[in-house]
Amino acid sequence: MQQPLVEKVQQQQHQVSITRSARFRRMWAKNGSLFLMALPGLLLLFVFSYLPMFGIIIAFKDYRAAQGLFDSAWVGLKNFEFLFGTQDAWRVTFNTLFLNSLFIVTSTTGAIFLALMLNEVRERSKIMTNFYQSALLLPHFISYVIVGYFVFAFLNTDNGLVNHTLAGFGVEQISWYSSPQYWPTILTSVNLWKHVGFNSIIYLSGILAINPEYFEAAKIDGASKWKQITRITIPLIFPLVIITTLLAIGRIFYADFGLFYQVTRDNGLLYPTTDVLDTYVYRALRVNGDVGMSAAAGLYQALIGFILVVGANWIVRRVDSDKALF
Amino acid sequence: MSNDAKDSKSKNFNRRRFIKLAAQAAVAIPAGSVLLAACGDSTATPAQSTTAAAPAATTAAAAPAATTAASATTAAGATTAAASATTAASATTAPAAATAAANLPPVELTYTYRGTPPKELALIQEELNKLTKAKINATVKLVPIDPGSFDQKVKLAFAAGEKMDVIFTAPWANDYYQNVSQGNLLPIDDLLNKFAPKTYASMTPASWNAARVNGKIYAVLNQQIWVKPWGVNLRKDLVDKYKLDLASLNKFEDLEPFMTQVKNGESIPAIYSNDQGDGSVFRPEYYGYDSLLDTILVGVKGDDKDLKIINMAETPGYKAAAELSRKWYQAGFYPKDAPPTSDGVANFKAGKSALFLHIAKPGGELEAKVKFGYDFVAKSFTKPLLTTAGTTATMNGISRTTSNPERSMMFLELLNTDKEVYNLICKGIEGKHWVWVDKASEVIGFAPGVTAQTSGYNPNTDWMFGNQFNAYYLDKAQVGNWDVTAKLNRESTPSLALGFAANTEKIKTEVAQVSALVKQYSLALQGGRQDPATGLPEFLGKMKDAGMEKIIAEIQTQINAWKKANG
Repeated sequence: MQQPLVEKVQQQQHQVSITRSARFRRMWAKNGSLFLMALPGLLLLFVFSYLPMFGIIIAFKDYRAAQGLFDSAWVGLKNFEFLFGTQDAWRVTFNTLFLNSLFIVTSTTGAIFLALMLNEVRERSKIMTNFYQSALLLPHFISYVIVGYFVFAFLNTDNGLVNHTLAGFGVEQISWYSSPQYWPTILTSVNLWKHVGFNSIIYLSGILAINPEYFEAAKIDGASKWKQITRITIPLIFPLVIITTLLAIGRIFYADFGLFYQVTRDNGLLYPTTDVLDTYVYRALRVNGDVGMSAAAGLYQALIGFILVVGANWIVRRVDSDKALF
Repeated sequence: MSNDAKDSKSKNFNRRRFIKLAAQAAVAIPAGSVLLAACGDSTATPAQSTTAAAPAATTAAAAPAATTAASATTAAGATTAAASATTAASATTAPAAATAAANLPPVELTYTYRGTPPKELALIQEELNKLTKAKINATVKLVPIDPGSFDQKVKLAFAAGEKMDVIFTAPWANDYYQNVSQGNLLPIDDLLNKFAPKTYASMTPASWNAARVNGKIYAVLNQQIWVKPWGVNLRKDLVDKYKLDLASLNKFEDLEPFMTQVKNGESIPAIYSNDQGDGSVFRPEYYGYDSLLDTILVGVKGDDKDLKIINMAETPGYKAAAELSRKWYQAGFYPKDAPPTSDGVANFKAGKSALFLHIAKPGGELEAKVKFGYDFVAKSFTKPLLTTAGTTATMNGISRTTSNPERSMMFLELLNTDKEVYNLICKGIEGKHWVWVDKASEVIGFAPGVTAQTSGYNPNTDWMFGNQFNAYYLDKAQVGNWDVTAKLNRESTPSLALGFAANTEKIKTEVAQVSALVKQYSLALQGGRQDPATGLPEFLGKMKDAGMEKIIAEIQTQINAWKKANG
């Protein structure tokens, strides 16, 4: 106990820092390049997802550029009122949820189906698989502005392809752009066409990761193709399906603005079935351009998305805790 | 001391370190954002302080709590501003402006406006700076912003406190009233008197009243056609072909025989229409309404002494217009699906339309020819009504973030009174973009080898930059049009609500809701695509749910107060 206390503490700290830095160095030598590779992504995440979080307070303020973020007056929940004030506001909430659920179901089942088929083709012809994949992926890269024109070429009343065909069969022509009842189907088809290829590639990679020995064993036991798919492939890619679905549910309250605005040509007559939260907010706020109200709409979407993801994950965990995301 | 203890110590240490780090982060991040916010403010602060210091202007907005640093810049800014203000004041009084210009310290200004950046902008700017350097010792950077993103970019620039000086503003683009209520524009009454006396004198006090918000002027009115003589512009080739007598046209219904002929003879829908509402028959001024809030159909009858605010969708005029459009739609006078604007124009150019329903103004045929590529004849159906919205349709204001309000106003004076400066920015450079056809009556034409399409500078938006009555004529036939237009403005019937502008600050929620409805129903109803028998009652019912009554009551209170204050 001759040693002064201060010195002792310093010594310990020194030791600690040695072990810490040594551990850090070892860890860095092992994973350093991975960290560096992750760095740009982490920075982006920080700058675009974490920094703007402070902006949430704008949703509760009467934001004035001249007064700045902190000096603008607090207005409580007033900015949210326009989202709930009218029947239409509820209708857009319903449309958003309904159409997006439809999209999730169709594009997931469609993508799994395609992935299974691509997997079968792959065993026979590598070239054809590549061709199908590219062809399926292509729509994913076409802008909705252009897709909107494609759809218009099909559906326009005067000389659209569909109406021409209908006329050819002697069926009465339909004024598509003033008949809202058809649009959930049309939008679902467009969405499916555009996204199914991309999603199927995710599932195909999941299928490729399955150990081939399972299939060999099944073949030896005399399992048919169908049995192999239902008993091996689908159960094994199911965790992947759950993850992608949970992610999709997280975004269920964000409608694809391009799809709902461009493809419907922002047509008032179609709003009963095609008006979604994003288009409604755009239309309502284009006039007064109120920053606070836009922020309120964004916060509302994020909050519902958050609740739905946590809720869906909770359900998954109740059913099978291994498959839950967190 | 065992290893365990050491471990637990190092663990403790880690935890402590973690808390420390977290605390640092918690302090540093808000501090960082405060710093950022402060940076944003600092660009604005000198502007505000110069305004406050200069005897010319009144305070723009309550200055934020000044730190020591800020007050230092305020003091410095104040002296220079005061000095420049006195020299500037003497400059306007001195007869030889050019010599006075040299006494002014050189400044750089920006002019932000709505337009697609042209190819040869740099040349124009160079030429412009020669003029402005000599006249007011300032260089001006022209900042045209594409129409599609103009509003958004300007909004962001204001929000970021970016330096801007002169800026285009109107109720329909870079919203004037919103800018005023948010403190984005400087009040300019005193600046106008001191630095732009000629511009101020060129318009009647009644006109200036239209630009006032709560008694103050925030932007310089561009003189152009202020009334809206709604009517029709018809393709001359088809008018000649079907021997249409323009004198027989006195209301929209009179167009029917001609449109039927066009439908049968040319197999095209006669009316140019698009999904933005062009082709609509319902025009408030045609029915005698002063449209106070276009986007939510709130107006007042132009000759109503009681100034009773009405929902224009409830008026018989609106219903009649919707029914007429429906009838025309079913008769095939409109395209079945309303195309986007660009497609509509392309269709017209390709000869797939015969007329467009718009204002018939002096010289409008020529503008239409540039846009659609045909010769036009025009006929107005509307008794001109002078409204606030018509008068304030295009203006130029001075941004809160300006570095020099006095010089900005002097530049505005040049734009509105100096033909050389104004026509340079409207038409380009003499000899390169245009040549004199008849100098005595100020008619110009494209320079040899240059056309409207190939010209490197042809904005075709005189109304944006200043007093359009100073613009050179593009055609001999146009000579005298500006006088006719000025006369039309002068002799129009002023709406009894002229000078009143509604403030939607307290009814934002309701306005958002109703404007969403108007976009949904009004375009379809007034384009004939929806049957008014079922659509109109539905529309009105939903408007009621969305709070239309509250909007009307609020605007009524405002206009009553305005009436009281203005006798």
